[in-house]
Amino acid sequence: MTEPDILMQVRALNPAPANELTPAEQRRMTQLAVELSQASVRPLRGVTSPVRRRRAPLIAFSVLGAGALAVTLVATNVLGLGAWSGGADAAAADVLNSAAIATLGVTDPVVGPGQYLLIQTDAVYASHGADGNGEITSYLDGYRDELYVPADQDDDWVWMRYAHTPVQTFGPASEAFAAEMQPLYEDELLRAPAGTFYGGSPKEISGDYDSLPRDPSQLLQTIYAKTDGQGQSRDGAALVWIADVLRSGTVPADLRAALYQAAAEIPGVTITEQQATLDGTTGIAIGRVETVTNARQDIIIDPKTGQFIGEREISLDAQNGLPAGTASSSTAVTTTVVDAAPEGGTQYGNHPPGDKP
Amino acid sequence: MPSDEDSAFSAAYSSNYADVLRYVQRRASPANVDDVVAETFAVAWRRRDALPAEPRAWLFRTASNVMKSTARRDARHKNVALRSWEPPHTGADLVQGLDVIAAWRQLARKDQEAIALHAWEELSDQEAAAVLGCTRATYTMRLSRAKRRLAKILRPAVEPSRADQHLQPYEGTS
Repeated sequence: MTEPDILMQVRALNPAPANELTPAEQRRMTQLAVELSQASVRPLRGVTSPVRRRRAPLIAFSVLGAGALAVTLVATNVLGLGAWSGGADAAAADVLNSAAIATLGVTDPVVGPGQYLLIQTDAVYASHGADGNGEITSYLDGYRDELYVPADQDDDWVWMRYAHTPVQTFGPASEAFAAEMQPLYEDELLRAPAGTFYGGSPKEISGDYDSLPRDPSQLLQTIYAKTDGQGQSRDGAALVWIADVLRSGTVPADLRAALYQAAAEIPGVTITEQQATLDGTTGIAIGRVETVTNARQDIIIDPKTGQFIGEREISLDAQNGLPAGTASSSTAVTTTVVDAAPEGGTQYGNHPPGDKP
Repeated sequence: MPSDEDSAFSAAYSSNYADVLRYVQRRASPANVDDVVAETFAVAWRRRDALPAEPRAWLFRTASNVMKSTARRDARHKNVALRSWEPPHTGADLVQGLDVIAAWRQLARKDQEAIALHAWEELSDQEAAAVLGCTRATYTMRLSRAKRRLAKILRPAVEPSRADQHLQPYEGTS
């Protein structure tokens, strides 16, 4: 076979030939143009990848260490729960409400001038890929992130993202896939004023945090509105949103309490494991099974202190080469106050999108 | 009244949207295509005061970086990073087509990308080099090696030297 023949055959393999846009594609093109043109008024919605929103620990710290007033107000709400008739089952609701009360007694870390709040996130995510025979194979990849948030949030934030390391593989294809992916990952150090990593803006979300109701029912309604159309179900999307917010690691006590209580109002939420261990810390897992996907979202809480330990998603079916019961994602979060952050780093890390040809 | 930058962006958007969409469709998992395209043009929008005059290669490179970043962030959403290409269900010459498909799958992703930019995106060597962030000479060499490796997979019998053939008979014939 001659070289032109080979190239002709490769052209024939083109998975998306350069055809005219379909009507649906044209609609999306128009829609995106509208969103972009409005971007100067309001940050883009749906343009930033949802996971960036999930993983970027963007939150208002102005409420960290909020005064006794807020705490008292929420505590009143908590104690007034006699008439509560929410959606989670009774045992799960008890745990969540106890945790809400306990967490109010926890002093949030105070970040002094020149100091940083260090949010350390240890996560495991399933990576999926084709194995070369048209089958999907997966392995579990470990992620470690360290985010340094300055006391003055207009200053530089620093984000150390370590190269992924495989945590678990499932047979030869999985192992080969993991080995193939590893060279793609590298340590990445980011630095951006006011946390504008990758050109995004934390201000949009911090505004959201400030404005979130602390009344659990109102908060849940707000969450339903925010997650409208996402996920497989309204309740599932709401619990995922709560898990995402909690794992930012920076939720102040009063909001944390309200989030626990909001979770207690979600139908289908139950205690899923009494002794759940995440990254060496044991707590109680509260979660909800999404029937369509047969996957369960858990949040894991220390029931005594109300501390948020982490969250995880467990696939109850064997899927994509992962055995049934595997946590396809899990995140453990710890926060501390430190005196210094690493030097260096860029706004876009190792892959600046603005590279000019 | 729209600024010059806005007009330049609009022109870049309408003349490159389809190309960027196809580029991403060829590489990202279907569930992520819209997000990657949107993020790519959002980056372009934020940098609309400094877009290259011919932004196509820049947009492809940006899309590629968005996919890399997304792959790091996106495991939760079942993103398949650098997905292996899946063949269409129809083909003029099925048997030969299957050979090429099998060979393509054996090819390293770097080689796939070098060939794809040429054969699918139909970029010039200069443009493809810009997408990959290398010099034109480097890209030309990478493309040529990638084609050679693909050819070798497709026709292993004629590739080794006579001496090698003698020492390494075909599998199953010894």
